Amino acid sequence: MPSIWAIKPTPKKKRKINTSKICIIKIIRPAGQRKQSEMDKELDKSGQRKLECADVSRCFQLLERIIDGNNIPDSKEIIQEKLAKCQPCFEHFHLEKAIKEAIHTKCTKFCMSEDMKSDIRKKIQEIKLDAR
Amino acid sequence: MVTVSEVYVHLNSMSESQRKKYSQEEKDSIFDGEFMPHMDSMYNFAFRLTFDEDDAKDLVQDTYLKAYRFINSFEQGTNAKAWLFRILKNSFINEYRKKSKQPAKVDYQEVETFYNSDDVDYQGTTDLRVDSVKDMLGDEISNALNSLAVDFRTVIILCDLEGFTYEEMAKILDIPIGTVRSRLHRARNLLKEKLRSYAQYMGYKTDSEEEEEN
Repeated sequence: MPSIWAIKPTPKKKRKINTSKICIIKIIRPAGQRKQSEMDKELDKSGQRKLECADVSRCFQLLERIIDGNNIPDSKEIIQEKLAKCQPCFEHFHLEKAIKEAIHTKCTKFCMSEDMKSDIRKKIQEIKLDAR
Repeated sequence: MVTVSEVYVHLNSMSESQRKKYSQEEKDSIFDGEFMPHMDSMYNFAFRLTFDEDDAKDLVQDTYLKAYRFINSFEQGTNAKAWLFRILKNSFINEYRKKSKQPAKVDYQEVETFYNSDDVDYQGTTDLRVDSVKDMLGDEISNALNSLAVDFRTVIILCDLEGFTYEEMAKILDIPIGTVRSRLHRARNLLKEKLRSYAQYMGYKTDSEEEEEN
């Protein structure tokens, strides 16, 4: 019989969050009640960001290059600094990123039917045989 | 890792006789191992260019036949997908664009001036909200993308759907890298305008509307 002290209390189960429900709530929320993201609110309160960017062209171009995955040295630090200090850069970065992600994840990827694929394979096979 | 641009530079500096001649077995192995896995991506690109299933299929088939014919120009181990996309894009320009005889949907004089310059007029932020974009459905985003002129649509497909770098896009499209950047920026601004219209139609508030109310 094991000692009572050897029995560990069963850990409380973490409550699972049903993300599908959250999405539904978000979609049906009436337009008038829509709120800015929590991140937006938090950072706006601090009032530390400049409301105008001193060099919009250079900053936006740099942010877009980073979002598009081009190899920019110290990109993490650049983003942290720009987003913390400049409101236009903050807004541009998040909007561009959201659009890019929406295109990547939501646009339908049209796939070829198996019939089409087999037609093409046949044609290629014919060309291969002719080449021999 | 060798980038696609390095391959093209390499290819341009090679004469026809210097190019590698693959044996029949090597050709088959490259074709089946490196070219065939991209069939769906190629079809997706072709369909978004032509909006027609049969034309898209013909375009993909034509691309594969050309790829087989010119396989000695391809250097094994380099970016096969970018190489195939370049062939597909050229086939589309040479054959399908002529065939469709679609009227230009953009002011080409304005676009040309724009294309020939690396300077982009970066404006302040639009009043489209991040939340609105996140709530949009795939069809709404697809429709906005499809409504863009083909040159603008192409850069967004290559960058955002297929994940090519600016350097790879420059080689696929045969344009300078600065032009890729400016065309992409312009394309995204046009897309934002379309999405903003959708957002208003869907009843999402834009920042400017909220300001007016306050």
